[in-house]
Amino acid sequence: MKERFRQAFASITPPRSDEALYDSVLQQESAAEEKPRRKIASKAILIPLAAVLGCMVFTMSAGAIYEGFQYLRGELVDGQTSTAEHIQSDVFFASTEHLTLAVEELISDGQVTYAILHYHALDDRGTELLNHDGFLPDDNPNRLNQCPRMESSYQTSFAYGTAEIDYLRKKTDRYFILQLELSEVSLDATDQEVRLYYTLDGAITSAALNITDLLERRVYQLECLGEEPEGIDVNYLVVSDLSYMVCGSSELSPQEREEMVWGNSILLLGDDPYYDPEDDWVNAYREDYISVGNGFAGGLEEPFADGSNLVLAGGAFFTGETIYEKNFRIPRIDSTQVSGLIFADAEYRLVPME
Amino acid sequence: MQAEELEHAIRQFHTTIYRIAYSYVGNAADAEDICQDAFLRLYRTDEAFAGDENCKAWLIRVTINLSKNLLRSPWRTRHAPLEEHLTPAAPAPATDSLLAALSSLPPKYRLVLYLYYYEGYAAKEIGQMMKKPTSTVTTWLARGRAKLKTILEQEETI
Repeated sequence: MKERFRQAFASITPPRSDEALYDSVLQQESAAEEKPRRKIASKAILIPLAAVLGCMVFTMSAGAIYEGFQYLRGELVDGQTSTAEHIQSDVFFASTEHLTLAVEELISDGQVTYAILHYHALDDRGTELLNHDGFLPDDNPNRLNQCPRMESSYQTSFAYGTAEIDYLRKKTDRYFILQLELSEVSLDATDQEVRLYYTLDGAITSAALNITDLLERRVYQLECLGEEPEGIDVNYLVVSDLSYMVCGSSELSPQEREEMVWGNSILLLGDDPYYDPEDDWVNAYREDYISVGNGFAGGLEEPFADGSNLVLAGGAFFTGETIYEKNFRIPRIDSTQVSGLIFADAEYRLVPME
Repeated sequence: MQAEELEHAIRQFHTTIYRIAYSYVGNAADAEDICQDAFLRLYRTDEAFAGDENCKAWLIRVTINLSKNLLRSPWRTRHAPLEEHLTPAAPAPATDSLLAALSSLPPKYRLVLYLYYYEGYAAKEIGQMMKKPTSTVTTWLARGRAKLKTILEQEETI
């Protein structure tokens, strides 16, 4: 079979020669270079622009020029401009005489938050501290908490929620990516802050980080394509490029609700252009499921304002790729790919809410 | 990149890149365009490649992205000419039932089968190129093979 595959693929040959392709690429590049440039702005415009640019360089913090500055833009949003616009830069800065700490980038949709933390040594003592095993051990204190309601109860370890970006590590610099996963307290969060825990001198310190520039979360009603599961109404999906949450309501007892939710995991469906519900064969091949985290699922002690008393599933998106040999997932997702979901063998399609 | 480096890359990888584009989009004209675009991007990049394999992996990733973008294009979705769906997916598929069967698979299955069986990449490497978990790649490989087998068996029965 393998040989047949090889023969079959070998029969696909490019119609153009290498030389023709080479000439064509150079010609295209040359044509692009010869395109008339836009007329240069007048001097009157250029001078204020230069002044603005000068100010920007002057006021930009030292953190902005470090290598990790573009990390979230590159790894998280991967060219999704609308999402990149919500990445905040130079969020927080603290220092001692030996070390500085900067939150270089931060993005949040109010439920899930990511931040890039950067330690920089200012002198030999700072370098020694940064490279001392006991200073930032595997259970190092860098973490994000929901602010302020779970001030002391939410804990996360180095293995989950915080990971070092190993390839950026130098003697004088260490970078960490921090994640705040969706949790029970953030389900209807209206907080405008998350709390950062860190250390510069061995003692754990905290600071509030502003998350007001939130990534949009879109709400979709759900239309069931077949028979709905008994006892639970699946009401709507809230989704952004960072997180998702499926809300429902039920008259079942709290225990029955829990059993129903935990016994039936949610599958978010991707937008597979080959999917045709009328075609059994294609249906069998539809496995573009979107990977999701396990932030929270269960009944709510207090229903949401719309009456939903159940979160069928909620968490962070991830692509399935682990990074830095730790259990940390790259969160990048294009949430416009979400086309529906499956719960308790029932399939739902998204309907934009009016 | 310098012109002579581009020339070297085209000699080394032109066929591979064309086959990958073809495997994904299923027609010669689009595959040719994607191929040219991929090499143009290579010519424009400032990326420093550690070697040919590194450059090849970069080109494959770019080609996959360009192919995906083409299929996602709303214009293409709405205006793809009918004959494109009717023409065989390979230059001479009638002479090879396997190639004809391959052309009836969804693009992602064609692509992973090509990368695995022809280029010899491991499932993990394919996953990295396609930004998919290894388990997804192995599932696609298994399903692609199973579907091909069914199609070929049906043809033999006929």
